[in-house]
Formats: sequence, structure tokens, C-alpha cells
Amino acid sequence: MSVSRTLSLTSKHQLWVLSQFSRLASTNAWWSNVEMGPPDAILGVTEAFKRDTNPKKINLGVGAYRSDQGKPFVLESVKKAEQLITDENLDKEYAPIGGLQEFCIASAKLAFGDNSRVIKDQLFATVQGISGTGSLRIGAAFLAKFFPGNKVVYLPNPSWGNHTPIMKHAGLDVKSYRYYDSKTCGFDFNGAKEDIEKIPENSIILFHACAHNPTGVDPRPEQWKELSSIVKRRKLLVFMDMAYQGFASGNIDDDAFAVRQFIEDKHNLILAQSYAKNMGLYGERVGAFTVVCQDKDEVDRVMSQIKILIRPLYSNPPVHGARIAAKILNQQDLRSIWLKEVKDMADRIITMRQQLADNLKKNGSSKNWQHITDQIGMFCFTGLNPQQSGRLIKDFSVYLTQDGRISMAGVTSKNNAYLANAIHEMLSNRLVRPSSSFFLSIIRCNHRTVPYPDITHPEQTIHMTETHEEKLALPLERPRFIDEYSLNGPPYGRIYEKIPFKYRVEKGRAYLYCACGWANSQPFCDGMCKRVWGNHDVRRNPKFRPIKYVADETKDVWWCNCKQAKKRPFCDGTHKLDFVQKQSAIKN
Amino acid sequence: MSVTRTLSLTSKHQLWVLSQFSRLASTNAWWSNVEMGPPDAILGVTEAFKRDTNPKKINLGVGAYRSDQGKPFVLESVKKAEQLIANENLDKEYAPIGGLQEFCVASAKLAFGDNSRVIKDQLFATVQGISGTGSLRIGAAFLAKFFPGNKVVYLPNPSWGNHTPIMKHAGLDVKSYRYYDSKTCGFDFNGAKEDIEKIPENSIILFHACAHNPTGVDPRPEQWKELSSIVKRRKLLVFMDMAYQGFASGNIDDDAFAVRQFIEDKHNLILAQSYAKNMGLYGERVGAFTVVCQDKDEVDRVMSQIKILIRPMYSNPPVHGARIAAKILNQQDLRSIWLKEVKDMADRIITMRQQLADNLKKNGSSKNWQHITDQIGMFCFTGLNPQQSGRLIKDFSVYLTQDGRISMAGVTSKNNAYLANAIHEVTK
Repeated sequence: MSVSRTLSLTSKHQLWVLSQFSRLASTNAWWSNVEMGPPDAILGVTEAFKRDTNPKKINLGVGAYRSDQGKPFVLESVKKAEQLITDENLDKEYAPIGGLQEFCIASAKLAFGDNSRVIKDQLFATVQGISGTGSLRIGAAFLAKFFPGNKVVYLPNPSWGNHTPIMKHAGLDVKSYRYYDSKTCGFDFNGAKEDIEKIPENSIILFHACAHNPTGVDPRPEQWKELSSIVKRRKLLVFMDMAYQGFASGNIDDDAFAVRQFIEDKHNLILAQSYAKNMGLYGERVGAFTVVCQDKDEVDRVMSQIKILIRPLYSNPPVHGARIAAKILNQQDLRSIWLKEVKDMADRIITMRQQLADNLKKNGSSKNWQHITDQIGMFCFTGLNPQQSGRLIKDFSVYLTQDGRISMAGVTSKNNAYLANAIHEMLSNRLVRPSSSFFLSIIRCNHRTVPYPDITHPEQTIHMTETHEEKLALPLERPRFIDEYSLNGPPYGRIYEKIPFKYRVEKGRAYLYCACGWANSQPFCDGMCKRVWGNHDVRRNPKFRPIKYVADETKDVWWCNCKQAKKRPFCDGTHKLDFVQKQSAIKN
Repeated sequence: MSVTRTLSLTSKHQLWVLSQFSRLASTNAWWSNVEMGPPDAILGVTEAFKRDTNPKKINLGVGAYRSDQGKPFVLESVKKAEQLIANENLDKEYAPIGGLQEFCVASAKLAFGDNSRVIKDQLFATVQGISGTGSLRIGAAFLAKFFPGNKVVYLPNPSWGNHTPIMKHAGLDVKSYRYYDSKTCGFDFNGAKEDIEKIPENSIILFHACAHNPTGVDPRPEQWKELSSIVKRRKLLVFMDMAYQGFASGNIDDDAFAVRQFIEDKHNLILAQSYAKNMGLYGERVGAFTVVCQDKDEVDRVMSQIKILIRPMYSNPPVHGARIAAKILNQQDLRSIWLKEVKDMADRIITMRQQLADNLKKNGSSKNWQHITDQIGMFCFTGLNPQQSGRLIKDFSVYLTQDGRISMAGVTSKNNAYLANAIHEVTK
């Protein structure tokens, strides 16, 4: 001990680093320190939905269009285009690094309009990207390397969850400006204007061109015009993310209004497009990234540099989806069919919104649900808070995300009434709604209010989530442990002994396993977990709880005494690992 | 002037930066300082080839298989698989972030062999990647974030031109070890061994599993075994790049020998696979990235982190090509057809090599052309220097890259004699 006290902090760290190196080198265990990553929030909702046996269950987490029968939908124009392509017997050679030329040009024309100055003077540098995400990523990489101003992107608050990782992964900083007004469930125009005025000059600002994700709240045309002039005055580079052109209002030109207005106001913007939703080409990964340039020479220079960025990412883009999209956009008959189908999809969404608002009124709801029909696109911010969303999931099998966002694509004419009824009932049911008095009662009462975490009893009535994603997708009113949302479950206690303890359990009897390592009656709890952590409010919600095990048969069980096993309370050999053996134990 | 002289260097630079800001802000000309990037070397070759009017011109820069008629080639198994998929009327929903499960499992089995301990104990964390490049990029991103040792990748010298940008773009440093012996036009085994001995422990070393690109020079099986033990002793993480499985020798198990040998020697390696060449799925972008782990728990943890890296790159991979590859790998009749077609492609290349070597001898060339038949795979390092390569392009309309690399895929039974004659003319 005295040796380590004389070593400086740096030397001790160096020693630790060296010991880590030798440990990993000797075991060939390169990835032992890789922790389980936080699960995808949407995935958790979908997994919980799949496990639900309620026949009335509705999945409103899905970000993909569904028909009125609730089925995935392949557009007729897409099927026809695919058939034509098959008949052409094309080869599968590499696309150029920037993608199929006919697709890129058609994509730019769709966004800017055939008569735009950008198209006529050929001022667009457009490359094919891997749907919306890939196009945003190319843009972020281009900005990180070549943007001459502040490498900070200002996103609307809230924005699509993946925007921030994409920008940060490419090396850009991320900030935000006010966008959504939770009081009105609408656009916070004054807040946005105030915040944009404060953005330093020569920064990057990102807008959702139409059908804002996740709120569904879009600025009105006159508001777009004002935003355009403010942004021009602030000298900001505009990054437009257009993932729903045609899908929002049903009309591709109306949905491109913001992009075209900014072009008219002479912004040299950059644009990411996606054909996942409006052509239903989700898994084919079709998108485009465009830089609007000053002149033809700039287009050539910028294109050459974008290609150099694409090459070490994935060399060249997938051909199949782009061939379909190019055929639809360039062949007049297919294009007409497509435009009609896009309008039908948008109309179905708008009809569902209207029906939902009407049904809520019919149910007698007194709340203002106008935002359901005011908002546009696939998503709708209902205004429900996390507790309310949680109860919709648990009590009504209506699956949505914690922020109260529902995907209108999952709403059909059949489940519309049930959904409205569920929302109304959940809101009007006073018994279940948490209130401040509930929390007050916790502090006052003297007995233990936190249940033991049960782990194995087969007849238990508590619904145990099966995957960790599921567990985190179902919000609880309050955590059982301070570390409840920790991905490893209850925290690890201190090592009592480095060998397991064999004990015979009887069938049907409950045992409380000491998880903290402080009990005197190892391996069972004697209440030290409460005493050890000090003051009164921590005792109500202590860091450690004994783990309850109800034996299903009389047998010998090896109980974990090192407290580090993943299969606590049972031994799984973790005590044999180096990191346990090297530490000191209470009992030797 | 006196004002600027009293200003320090930093202040002058700051003034310049500010002036740049106001200049660009007033003109909305964000990209005026973006310079034209260097053109792609291979693309330049192809463009010059297209402009050439000589009827006898040959393009040997192309890195894609050509039939004996010099045409791009879609495999019969691929066409059949596509037809079956079209008949199934599948939807176009998003693939999972890690790609199609049936494809990933089949891809791992193809690489390691059905009886490998990796497959039996399910120790592989495999995700679908955007062909070879995308799979390498996922690997590089994973290493940059999680590798606990020295974040330096040692590439063979020379290596595929895109390896270095991929690693650097992801944030890894790049060094090299000797590989190609220009005197023998073969494998510099002693040089490689010496350099590998000097690599610091806990670094990353990359090998081309078969059909080295660009040299076509592969270590022999016993040399692979020795390399495996040296690398084990040096405690290096092995990154295998297998883009030509089946395409090199015609046999998928023989081509996977290096990977399987390293697995047998208990290396927990990482692997990038591509189906561009061996299934001819070039533009469909089908590949896979695998991390071999210690146990099932590590597989789960590693998979979760790889998915977090994929999400901000492109969310999820393209489905079409992976569906084709999965069908071919998993359906017995299609698989048999595919194995035969891969063998045919490899055999055509090997035949062309033999013919070229024979034709060169027939032309009376006194040089040793044994390396043409010794080397394996699509590419061949002829041993020509840049001047000779330049003459080949200018005088004979034979288009190749400056380093003397030719793509055997561009050689056909019709142009073989002309090519041999041209090479003989520039080297005599």
C-alpha cells in the first residue's frame, strides 16, 4: 500500500493501463471491455409489441407506411418499374462513385422543379446516397472537411433522433434552436426567430423541408419566407432535409415549397433527399445529396471532393433502388402513376387524422385535439407525457414512443375508434394517474415500498420483460433502484468471498440473496443494504436490494459470493476471472 | 504597413481569417476554396481507353470479371435467385440494422466452414456491410472506438489503394510490412517475417485472405501457418480481408484456408467479406463484417456496439443483393450451380494466365514469366516499370495501371496473343 501512495496519479494510471494490456494480450480477449450499448428505443417498442397477445394491439412506433389493412405496401409504379428493369436484362456492374447519372439529375429536378435556375444553369452537384441517412452523412462529412465557417449544425428542437449522431460521427458540433411549442402543440415561430437571430454568423442551420419528424409541425409558407430572409441576414448555410416530398400534402411541388423558396432567395443550400417513404423504397436505400453551387466550375470541384469522401465510406452506391427510382421519375406514364399513389398515401394519412380527431370528440374528450389535424406527415405529437404513453402501452396495448409520438401510418379505419377510446379512457382514469400526493406518501411512510425484484417464480403475475430493450421501452413510474436504467441491472456489490457457497434450497421457499456484499449472514440478506448507505431518503430507495429467489424444487444451489456474477444470485464462474481474483475480498 | 509590422503573427492570421469570413459571408460563396480533387487513377485509365480508336485496344485496368467475349457477366445462379425472389413478392421494408439474418449466418458459415468451432459455438458477430469497402469501414470504425491496443493498422506493401483512406478516414493510423518482392515477383516471406517481428504488441495487422490485390501473390499454406504463429506470439489483432473467396483457386474451401487456419490457431480475428466478384454482385453492394468473440455474451455486446456505429452511417443496408446472396448460399441447387460458376470463372482466369505465359515464350521472350502463372486471382503484377507501362498504353493501346498491374479479367482468348506480343515488344 505504501508503494502506491508514493507513486503519482499518472504513474498509477500508467501501471493500470499496462496491466490492462498484459491482461488482454494474454487472453486474446480484445473485446472484454466492450459494454453492451444502450438499446434502440424504437426497437424496444416493436419487440414489446410482438410479444403482446392482445388481439387489439396497435403498433404506432413504426416509421413506415402501412395500408388500411395494416400491411407493408409496395407501390404499383415500383412493381412496374422493377418488371421493366428485369426485362432489360441489365448487368450488375459498379455504379459510378456518384451514383447513376439519370437518377441524380431526375432527383435534382424533382426537388428544385424543372424550371428552377439551379436546373437551367446546371448549378447542382448531386450524388446518389444511401437513402436519407447516407445522404445526410455525406453532407456532414463534406461540411466537416470543407465548410469554411463554424463547424456547428443547429438542429430544430426536437429533431429526428439520428440527426445528432450523424453530425457528431462526422465531426461536427450540434446545437439547437426552438421549434416545437408544447403548449400549443404547434410551431414556436417567435422562439425560432429569436434563437436563429442569436446563431453566430457562418454557422450551419438544418431545416426539415416538410413533415417535420417527430412533431409533424411545419411552418406556413409566409413563415418560411420570413425564416429565409432572417437566415440570409444571419449569413447561415442552410441544410435542407427532405424525406417526405409528396408524402406530406400529397403534392410534390407544395411539399418542396420551402426548398424552392430558399433557392429563389438565392441561398446556396445543401439538400438531402430520401425516397424511402414517398416511393416506398425503404430497404433499397435510395437517396440523394446535393450542393447548390455558384457556377459550373464550383460544381466540378465540389463533385470531385464529394467522390473522394464517398470512396472510403462504401466506394459506390447500390444500383437496384436507384434504377427503379430513375425509371419512375423519367418515364412519363410511370411518373403519373407514382404521383397518384403518393397522393393516395398522403390522403389516407390525412383521413386518419380527421377520423381520430372526430372519434376523440365523439368519446367526449374535452381536450383540444386540433393539433392532430394541424400537423402533417407520418408522425403526430399527441402531447401525451411519458407516464401517459406508458399507460397506453401497458393498459391498452397501444405502442408508441415515450415522447408521445404516434405514427399515423399505423392507424387504420378499423383501429381508429379503439385508439381514440384508449387515449380518452387513459386520460380520464383518475385512479391510475400519478400525482404529487403519491410521491408525498412515499416519503412519509416508514415501511418498505419498493418491491423485491423477483426473478424466477413461474406463476408470478408481474409481467417480466424478456429483453433489455423491452424493459427500457416500458416506462415505470419510479425506478426500483437508483441504477434501474443501468443496462447491467442491479449494481454489483463488493466481493465477499472469491468462491461460491453451496446451499440446499427447499421447494417453494423464498430466499433473499445479499447483492451488496455487506451482510453478515452470507449469502442471504440481513438488512445491511439499508444501513450501509446512510441517510433516510436513500434508505427508502437504496442502491442495493436483496434479490428474491423462490425455489422451484429442492436442490443444491451454488450461490454467488463474489457478487460480480451476471447470473446473480447464482454462480456462473465470474469469480474465476482475473478482475475478481485480483481484488481483495472481505472473507479470505 | 507599420501597423501590420507591429501586429503579431497570430493577430495577422486572425485578421486574415476574419476577412475570409466577411468575404464568404457577403458572397454566399461557401465553396470557393474547395479545390479540384486528384482524379481516380483507375478511372483515368478507363476514360483514356474509351477515347482510343484503335480496334485492337485492350482494357486491363478494369477490376471486374469479363467473359471470354469481353462482356460483363451476370451469373446464372444470380439470375435464377432473382427470379425466385421476384415471384415471392416480398416487401421492401427496412432490413434490420445488422442486415438480413439469413444472409449473415450463411456468410459466416461460408467463411469459417460449417464445422468450425466459431459456427458451432456461435462465436461470430456478423453484420451485413456495403460490399467489401463498407465492411472494412465498419471494422475500422469499430477498431477506432473500441480497440484496446495501439490504433495502428499494418497493411501489406503494396495493398489495395482504398485500404489506406478507409482506415485513416475512420481515425486509425496506417503503417506497412514488406510483402511483395519485386525481384522475384513473388512473396517476400523473410521480409514479411522480419517486419512482423518488429510490430509493437497489441497492434492490428491486415492480411488479404486470398488473391492479393494488386500483386496476385499469396503465401503458401505452410507459410500461412508460420505467419499465424508469429502473429500469435506478437499478440496482434488479425484483420482478414477476403474479397475473392472461390474466385482465386476455384474452390471456396481452399481460398478460405488462411482464415480457417488462423481460427484453428485460436486467433479472435475480424473479417471483411465481399460478394462483388465471386457472385458478380458488384453494384448490388453485398458484403459482411465479422468479429470472432470469446463467448456468446461478448457477441451480444459487440453486436450492440456495431449497430450503434452503423446507424449514423446509413441506418440499415440495402436488401436486394443480400436477398440474392442468401438465397444462393442457403438453397442447395442454387448453391451447386454457383460453386460451378465460380470455378468456371477462376478456371478461365487460370487458363488465360497459362496462355499468356505460353504466348510470351512463343514470342521468343527470354525473361522469366513464371510469376504470371504463379500469381493468383484477378490481378497480375507483370513486373513492368512505369516507362514500359506507358509504352504499352501509347504504342499498343493496352491499358493498364502505372505499377504494371494487369487485370486478367480483361484478357480473352482472342486478345491473348496480341497482348503477349505487345509485352514482349516493350520488354525485349
